[in-house]
Amino acid sequence: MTKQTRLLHKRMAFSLVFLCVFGLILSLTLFAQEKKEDLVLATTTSTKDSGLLNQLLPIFEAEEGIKVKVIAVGTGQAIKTGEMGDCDVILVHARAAEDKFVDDGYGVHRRDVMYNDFILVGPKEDPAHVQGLPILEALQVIAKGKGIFVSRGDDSGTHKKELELWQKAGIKPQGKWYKAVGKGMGDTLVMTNELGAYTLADRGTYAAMKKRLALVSLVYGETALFNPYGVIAVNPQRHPGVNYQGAMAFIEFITSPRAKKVINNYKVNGEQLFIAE
Amino acid sequence: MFFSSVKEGIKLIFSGNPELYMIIGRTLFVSLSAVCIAGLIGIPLGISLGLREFPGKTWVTRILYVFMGLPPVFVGLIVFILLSRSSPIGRRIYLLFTPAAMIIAQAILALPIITGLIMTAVEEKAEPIILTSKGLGANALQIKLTLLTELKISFIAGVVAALGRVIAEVGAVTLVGGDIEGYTRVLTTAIVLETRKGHFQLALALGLILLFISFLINTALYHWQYRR
Amino acid sequence: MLTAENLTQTYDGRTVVQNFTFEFPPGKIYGVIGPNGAGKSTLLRLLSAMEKPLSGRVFFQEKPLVEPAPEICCVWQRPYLFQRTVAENIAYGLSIRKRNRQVARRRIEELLAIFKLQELRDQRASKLSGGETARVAIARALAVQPQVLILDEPTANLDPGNTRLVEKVIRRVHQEEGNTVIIVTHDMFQAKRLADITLYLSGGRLIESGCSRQVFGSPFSEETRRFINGEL
Repeated sequence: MTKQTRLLHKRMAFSLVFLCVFGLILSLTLFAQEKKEDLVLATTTSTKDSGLLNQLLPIFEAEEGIKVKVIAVGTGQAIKTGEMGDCDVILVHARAAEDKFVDDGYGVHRRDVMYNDFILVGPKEDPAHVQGLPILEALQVIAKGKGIFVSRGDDSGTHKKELELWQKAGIKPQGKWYKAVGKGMGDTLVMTNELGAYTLADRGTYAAMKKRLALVSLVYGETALFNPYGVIAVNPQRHPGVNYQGAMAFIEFITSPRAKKVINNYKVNGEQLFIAE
Repeated sequence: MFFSSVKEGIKLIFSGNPELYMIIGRTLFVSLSAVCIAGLIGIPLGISLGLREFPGKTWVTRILYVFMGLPPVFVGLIVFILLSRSSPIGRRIYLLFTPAAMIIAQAILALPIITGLIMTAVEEKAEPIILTSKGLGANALQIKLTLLTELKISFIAGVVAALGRVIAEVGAVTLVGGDIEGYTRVLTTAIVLETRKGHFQLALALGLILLFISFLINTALYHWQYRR
Repeated sequence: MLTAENLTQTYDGRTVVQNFTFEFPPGKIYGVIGPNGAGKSTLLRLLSAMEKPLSGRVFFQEKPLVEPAPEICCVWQRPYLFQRTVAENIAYGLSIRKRNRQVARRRIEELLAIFKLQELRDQRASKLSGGETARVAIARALAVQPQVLILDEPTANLDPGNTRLVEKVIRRVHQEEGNTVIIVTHDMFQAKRLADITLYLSGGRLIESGCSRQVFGSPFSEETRRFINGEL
C-alpha cells in the first residue's frame, strides 16, 4: 500500500467517524428544539392502521401549523405513555381506563370523539354455528369448545372490551380453546385466519384487511359491541414539558364539525369504519 | 409468495418512492451513528481490557458476555424510562421519540458486542505483536499503532457484528423512537407495521431490502480492508 | 557492552533463571545452549528488558537497562510477521525510526538480496513458508543494523538449506558490522559452528561458559560434557 492510499484510508475513516458524531450532535440539538412546536399523539393501532389519521392530520397540520407525530401502540401503552408525560394527547378506546387516567390527575379535558363497533369474526364454515347469535350467547357457544378463540391479550382497548364481554357472559376465558397472543389487531387477525379461529376485532382493521383474510363477520351491530373513542390532553400541571396548547387545539379540532364530516365520510373497501357522535 | 416478494423488493428499490429512501437513509444514519459512538468507546475499552490483567477480570468478562446478548426490548425500555419526561434526564433534555433516542438505545446494544469481541481478539492475538514490535525498538505509541493496524480485521469484524445486530433489531427502536412516520420509522419498524396491516408481501420486500443493505455494508467494509 | 548482574526470575514460585551473571563484550557471537526448560528463552527476554527480573540488573553501555532499547533487536521463536508485504515487514524498524527513505529502500533491497527474498518482495507475509518466514524475521531485525542482535532458535524447524543460508547471513553481517549476536539454540552444533563464546545453561543456572572450542573440546563441567555427548 502506498503512502497516498494509506493517507486516503485514514482520511476516509476519520471523516466517517466525524460525520456520524457531527450528525448525532446535529440531531440532538435540532430535534430537541423542534420538539416544542410538535404535537405527540399516542393512539391505538386501530386508528393508525385503518388510515383514518392520514385523512384527519394533514387538515389539522395545515390549519394550525403544528406537526403531529403519531405513536401507534396498544391502548395500555398509550395511556402509560401519557402517564409518564411522553406524549401530549391520547386518542384511545377504553372508557374505564380513560376515566381512571383523568381521575388520577394524569389527563384533562376528556372528550368523546367517535365510535366504531366490534365484530366477532370467524371462518366461513363457522364450526361453532354462532352466526347471527347475540354476542354473549355466541361467546358461550365458543367457550364450550366448539372452536378456537384468539385473544389480543395485550391490554389494548379491544382486549379490555373482550374481557368485559366474557365477564358479562359469565365465562372465565381459559383452556385449550382460548389463545391470548399478545399482539396487535392486524397480527391477531392474521393468526386467527391461519388457525381458522374466532376473534373479536374492530371493524376498521378488519375492513382494511378483509381482502387478504378468509374470515367473515358473524356477530355485529349490538350496542354491547360499540367502541367509543375518547381524546384526552395530558395534564400540564403534572408534566410541565408537554405541549398543552397543541393538545387543546387538537381536541378542539377532532371534535369539530369539519373533523366529524371527515370521520363519517371515511370508508375502507366501501365500509364506513367510524361514526362521529 | 417469496419470489414475488423478491420481485416486489426490486421494484420497490427502483420505484423512486421518496419515503422508502428516507427510511433506508434513516436506518443507515441511526445504526451507523450508534455503532460509531459504540466504537469510539468500545474499541479503546476492549483493547485495554484485553491487554490488562486485574482482579475481578473474569467477572467483568462474564458480565460483558451476558450483555452481548441484551434483549433489545429490555434496553429500549430502560432507555425509554431514562429519557421519559418523568425522569431527571428527561426534564433537562427531552429526546424521547427522536432519532437521537434510537441512536442511544442502539449504541447501548452495540457497545458490549464491540468491546467483548475486541477484548477477545486482543487477548488472543496481541502478545506476539507487542513482543515483536518491542523487539524491533518500537516505543509505546508505536506499539499501540502497530496493534491497531495488525488487528484491524478483528476490529472491523467486531464493528460489523454490532452493526448487523442493531440494524436488524426492532424492539428498542420501536419503543424509544415510536415508529413515527417520516421521522423515526426505520426498516425494521416498517416491517412490523406492514406485517400488522397484513401486507406480508411488502413486509417481506422490506426485509429483503434490509438484508441487501446489511450485505452491502459487510462487503464494503471487508473489501476496504482486504483491498490492496 | 551488555552486562547481566545476578539475574533471577521466577514464574509462579518456580525459579527459571537463577543468579545469572555474565559480561557480553561487544563484537562477538554468543551461543546459549542447554536442555529444554533451562531458562534460555527467559534469559533472552531479561537481557533485552522485555521482562523485569525478580532481582538483579542488566547494564547496557554502562547504564541500567530497564526498558527495551532501540539498539537491541530481537527475533523470537516462531516469529510473528506483520500482516503486510515482505518488504513492508523488513521496513518496519526503519520506518519507526524515521530513516531517510532512499537509504531505507537501498537497505531493504540489500537484505532482500542476501536472504534470497527478491521475488517475494510484494507477497503478503501470511502466505510465506516456514523458512521464508524465518528469513524475513531475521532480515527485519537486521534492517536497522542493531548493536545487539538477539535470536531465539532462529533455525528451529528449518530445513538444512535454509539453516545454512541463515547461518551464512548471520556470520556475514556480523563480520561486516561487528555487532554483538546472542543466539539461543537447541542445536549445539550450530553454536559450535557460529559462536565465538558458548554458554551452557541448565536448570536456570549458568553452568559453564567459555570460548566455543574449549567448551566443546574439553568442558570443565561433567554435566556439560554429558550434554554435549548426548548423554543427558
